[in-house]
Amino acid sequence: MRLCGLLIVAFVVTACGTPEWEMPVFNDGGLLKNATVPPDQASAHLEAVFRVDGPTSTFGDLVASRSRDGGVSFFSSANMGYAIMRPGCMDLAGGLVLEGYWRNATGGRTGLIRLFVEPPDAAAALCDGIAPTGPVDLHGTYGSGNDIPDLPIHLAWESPLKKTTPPFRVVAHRGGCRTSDQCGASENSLEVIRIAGSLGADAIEIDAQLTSDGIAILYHDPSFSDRLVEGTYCMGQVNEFPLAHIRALCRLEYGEQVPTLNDALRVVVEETSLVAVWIDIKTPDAIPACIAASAYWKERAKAIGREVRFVNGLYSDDMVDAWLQAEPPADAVCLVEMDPKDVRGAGCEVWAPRWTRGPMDSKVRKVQESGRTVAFWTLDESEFIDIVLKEARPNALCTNRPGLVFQRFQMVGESPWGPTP
Amino acid sequence: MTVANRDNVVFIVALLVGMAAAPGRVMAKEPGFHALELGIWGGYALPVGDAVADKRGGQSLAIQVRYRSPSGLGAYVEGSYAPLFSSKSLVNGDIPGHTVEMSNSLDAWMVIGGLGVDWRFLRLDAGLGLAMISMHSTIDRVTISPLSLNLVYSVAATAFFIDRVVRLGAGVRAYFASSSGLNFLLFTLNLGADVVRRH
Repeated sequence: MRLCGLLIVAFVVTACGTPEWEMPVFNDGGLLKNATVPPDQASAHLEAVFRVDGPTSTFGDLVASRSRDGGVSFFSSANMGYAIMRPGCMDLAGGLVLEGYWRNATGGRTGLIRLFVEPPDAAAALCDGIAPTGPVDLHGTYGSGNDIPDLPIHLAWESPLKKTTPPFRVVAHRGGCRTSDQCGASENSLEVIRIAGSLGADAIEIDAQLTSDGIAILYHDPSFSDRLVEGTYCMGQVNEFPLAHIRALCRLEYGEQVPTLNDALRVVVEETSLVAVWIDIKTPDAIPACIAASAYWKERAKAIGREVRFVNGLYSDDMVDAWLQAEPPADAVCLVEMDPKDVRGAGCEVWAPRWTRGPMDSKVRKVQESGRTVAFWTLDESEFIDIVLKEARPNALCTNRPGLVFQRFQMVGESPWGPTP
Repeated sequence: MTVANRDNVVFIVALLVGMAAAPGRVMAKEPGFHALELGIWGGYALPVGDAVADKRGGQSLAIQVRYRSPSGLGAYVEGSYAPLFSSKSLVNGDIPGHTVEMSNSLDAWMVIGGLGVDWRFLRLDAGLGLAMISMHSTIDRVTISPLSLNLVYSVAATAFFIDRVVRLGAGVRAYFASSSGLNFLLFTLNLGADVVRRH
């Protein structure tokens, strides 16, 4: 009997999987349904640090907000929380409303949130495209799941955002977040690249490797497995699959196609305001394709009035050798993960050490003063983010929690050393 | 380790703990013997879970070598083959430009070692091993055959109708392959014989 009991318990445990996170939505369309999109500068005026009055256990004491791609996002270090919202001017009722969802990345709590801009005359000015004379506050409600939000929350303006010269950049790992972070899209997908800005990123890191027919695609692991893809027949070494087989047999965890590098860079240039892409090249044979894609999309970005930096990442001596053998054009930008001397030897512009090596502040400063930039990877914990920000003062941090790094930089960050990259 | 894999390990550990914690001593079929048993089993593999397939499973075959102690506890090693899925379909849309024919199949080749206990007419096994999942896919006359190596966990229960030096039984075996996420059952007919017996 005891054995049977154990088997039943074990079977029940086996049958339980990880619940998928579903983005909360206003079932009736919310107030935005009848609102008009405000002028761009209205969202920009809502960028600030706010003090939370009310549910600090959920949102922390201080949140930092920023606007990207038509939306406004709020980031907290408490529970790695964030809220992604859209603004709307309510022409009939008057006022400027923000609606969207909030989520605690640790703990998995989520729900809807609705905020109104105060005072009313400032909201009216923003909707008319006029900068209000003073700072604005936000008040409203938040809730749980898809329930209509009814718990009060008030965000009081605390300070303007910290903006430094040279600028500090938040680089979102794997296009925005890992699949396991459950941010609403699969890692290395077009969908996650589209939301990277609203998650707090200025730039993204993506992983590139070749299919068997020589097409560069975005995928991290050397093999297809149920960790990242779905599909009965989607298993085995990535470089044994032609693109047609990948298209037909594989889907990423949230149902997306495995994108080509060209598709991904097109989305960055044409559909986002991201300023840089770190292409983490997984195999030497993918280097020529990455160089070609970087050059093509750099020109395309220029043609539509954007400046996007495409950085080819090299993680080993073999990759550096393959890079040099590929004879990249003089304006091709590269990144080396090993040591500063390897960065100089490869003629690269960026040093990207793993954060576990420590802040290495004197080395970082030396590299920055030589006109190069430094980007640490991959930091996700407030404690370590703060240490690296304060002691190393890097140009960028690569993270699975872009909103958290943005918020921590606003709290403790300082200007990187050296010239503007 | 994914949640599913962790739970599978919990399952195996729970089974082993359950065996050890079972009330009273387990009973050997013929107490007092150390035995080396050679067995074969054949059966039908049945994959479980969602999958794109016209045909699920098929005839499987295995060979097994087992040591049995006088108490009934033992250890085994087995090699087995199981067909899993096959399908044929037309692909349109995913490959721009034209509709093409696609055929796919999956087979598993496994080597598993584990512990077992014989208790009256019943045998319970728990094992750990490697599965080489072999995929064949042809799209528009281009064929690929990638392999995927998986850690595989297995539990089995076999009941014997004839249980002497030669034994005949029927059983069910459950397999959990780690990185492919494939789970499948094998319904088996088992034939074995003690090739060595020592007091």
